[in-house]
Amino acid sequence: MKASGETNLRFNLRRTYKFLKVLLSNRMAALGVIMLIIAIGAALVAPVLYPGNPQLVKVSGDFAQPGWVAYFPDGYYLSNNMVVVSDPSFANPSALQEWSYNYPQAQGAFLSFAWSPSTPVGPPSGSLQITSNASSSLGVTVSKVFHYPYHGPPSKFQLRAFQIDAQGASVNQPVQVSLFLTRGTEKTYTFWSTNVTNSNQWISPRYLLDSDADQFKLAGGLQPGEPLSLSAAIFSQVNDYTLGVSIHFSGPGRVNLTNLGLVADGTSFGLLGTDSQGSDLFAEVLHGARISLFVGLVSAFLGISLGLIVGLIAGYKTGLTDEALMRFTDMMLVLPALPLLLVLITVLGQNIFNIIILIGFLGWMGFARVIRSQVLSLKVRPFIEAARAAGAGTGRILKVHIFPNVVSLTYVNLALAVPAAILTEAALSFLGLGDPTLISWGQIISNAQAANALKDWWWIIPPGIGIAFVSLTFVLIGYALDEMFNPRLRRRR
Amino acid sequence: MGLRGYILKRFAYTIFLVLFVIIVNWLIFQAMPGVQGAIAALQGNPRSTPKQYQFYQDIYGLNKPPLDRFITYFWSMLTFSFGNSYQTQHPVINDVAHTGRLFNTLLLVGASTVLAILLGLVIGVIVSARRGSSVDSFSVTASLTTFSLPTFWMGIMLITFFATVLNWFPQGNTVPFDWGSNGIPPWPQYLLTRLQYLTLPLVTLTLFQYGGYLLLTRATMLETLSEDYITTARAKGLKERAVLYKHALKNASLPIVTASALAFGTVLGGAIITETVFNWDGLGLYLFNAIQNKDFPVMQAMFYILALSVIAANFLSDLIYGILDPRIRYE
Repeated sequence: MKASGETNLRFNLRRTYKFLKVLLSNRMAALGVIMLIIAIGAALVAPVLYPGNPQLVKVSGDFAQPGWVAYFPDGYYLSNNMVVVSDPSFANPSALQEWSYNYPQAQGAFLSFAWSPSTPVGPPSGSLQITSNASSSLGVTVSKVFHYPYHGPPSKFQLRAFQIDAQGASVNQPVQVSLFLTRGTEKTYTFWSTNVTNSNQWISPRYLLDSDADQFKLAGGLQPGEPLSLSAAIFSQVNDYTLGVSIHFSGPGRVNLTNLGLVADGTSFGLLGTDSQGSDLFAEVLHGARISLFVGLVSAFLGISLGLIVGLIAGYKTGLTDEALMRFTDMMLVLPALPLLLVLITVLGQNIFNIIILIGFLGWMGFARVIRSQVLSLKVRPFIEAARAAGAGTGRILKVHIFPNVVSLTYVNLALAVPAAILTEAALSFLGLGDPTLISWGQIISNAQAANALKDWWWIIPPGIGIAFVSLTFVLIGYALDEMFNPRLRRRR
Repeated sequence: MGLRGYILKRFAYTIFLVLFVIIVNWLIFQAMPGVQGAIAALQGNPRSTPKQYQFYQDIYGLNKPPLDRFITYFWSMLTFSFGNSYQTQHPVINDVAHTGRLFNTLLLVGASTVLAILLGLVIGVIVSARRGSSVDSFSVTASLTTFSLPTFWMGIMLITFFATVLNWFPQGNTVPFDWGSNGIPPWPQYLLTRLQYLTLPLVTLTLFQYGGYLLLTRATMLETLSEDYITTARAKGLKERAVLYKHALKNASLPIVTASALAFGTVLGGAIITETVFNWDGLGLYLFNAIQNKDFPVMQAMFYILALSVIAANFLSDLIYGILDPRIRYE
């Protein structure tokens, strides 16, 4: 028994090898197989490269164009992501070296700068401690100069939620603090300034230090109705910029400050740019390959299996069974598929399993007819009669004698059912009836439409190409298989 | 059994299909949480009185036994009285037939089907005569590619390129907005403008269909061209054109008739997508809007009408087939 099992395996391996050789000698099929490997590779690589849902991660500015556009004339005004301060929360003592300190030369002796670790009452990170022993007033500036190399402004920029704690400050002896950004030497924007009058209390700006926030815009010197964005007003040219905080002591005191940093979101990012949420579209498109392949393969498999079963039974059995099954097939065929799907999904709810099952259950009729006609012509052949005469039952004849003769048809139709299912899922998603929690290619295009961004080619084109790519993969393979197996199409030599 | 017997048989079968569609339509919408859901919500609301509850039960006829409800439904389907749309408050049948929606969809679907069949037939015949040439592989690859392109995406690409960038065609809609207020222009301009608005949706829906016809024509032509009577025709010294068009195409075109009827349901699906992309005011867009707004009477009516039209298309193709191919009558 074991030996025969081994020969069987060998035989099967050899048959598979031969089949692949014939398949790959067809140019279309070879192309299809290469494309299939690429698609499956993308689907497998996606969760490794981008674990988690990429739509929940903001990687750059909203609607950022692909990074490589910067190499074209159109991309002259694009900018990249920029992190100005590497350790904005003063987590390590080395953070102190990032900043430069300016104060009147003569009073330097009264000042000391130190790193202080986090305290139970303060922010969870370290801070910069500035102590002044001068009895008179004293001003000090902590700043960092950085170069902004892009010709266009960032999509937006954000400052860390700056925190300061002044010890020894009182109403009579306030500590003046102001947070600023200077372009070159010409223009200074003050984002936040206050007189700290409470001793021993961490305070920070009451508003979000985000260039899109209205109050911050106001603080940056722009009127609320101003069409210009704050980031465009500030980062208007290639220049050296200074980010800093100036502190004015009116008497001796000690100041701790932390969370001093600026992050600019670029207007270009990565291979395929970002969507309206600033999420990486390349990651989304890679993840889309998983959903589309999954939906396509599973629902095609479901539909083809159903069609195979119905076709085999209807073809082999005669009389009432055949009649009933074929009438039912015909009835199902007159139901318009997409409207029915739309209506049914509205009833059953938009989730991926409903979609897969419905696509599968609406996709078996044509194949059942094909199989039935094939079985009808097979079952009158002498070898079936011989099997029946030898006492084989219906199940055995179908399984051992008829099924192997229709299996090539099954391959062909399976390959052609996959793109149909993928396209149907994409259409459903586009019409707003896809699974909103999953990233399929149709869903990505649907999101673009919902965000009114149909003109954003980097958002629209890649998922469409993805759908076309995977569909074409299976269409090519299916078509090549059809030419190989279908005796009517086989070329006469 | 002659032609008449065949037609009668097909007609009886068609009636049977209509009954099936009516029943399916009933079953689907029985499961819809529409009116039933509203009633259940009313029942669940502690402040609603039994009187109110009774009122709505009466309005929707829910206090009658299911069989009575089915008979009412059945009758309304036969008489095309589908009730009022939740959105527009007009009778659904008026929204469908008297607002130009039916015409718009028929125009789009009809014109694109005719165009696609013509394209498929012509290219298919040309290509089948040159099997294996570069023209052959190019057109096969091209039709396989259009097969694989999502329809809505094709539409968006066409809009982006021909409407937004080149500005040759409008970005969508059926007619210009200002026709409502400024009145319809004289006919030459009217026709031209309508054609301009029709072009992109028409191209989209034609691209959606032509590949199938091309591949089908090519396959049946290749099969026919290997028949003995074609060899005979060639041996007689007939010109290749005559062999192709007179002898081969006539016989090879029969499957096209069946295929176009079978594909009709799919084309309607394509029309829904195309009309949505181009905001083309037809039945597809009407159904889409109904689904978006859970407008159940419209959904039910539209599904019924679309299924009926598929059944009608099948019946028609059966008739044509019966007339064209005498063999079928005597099966």
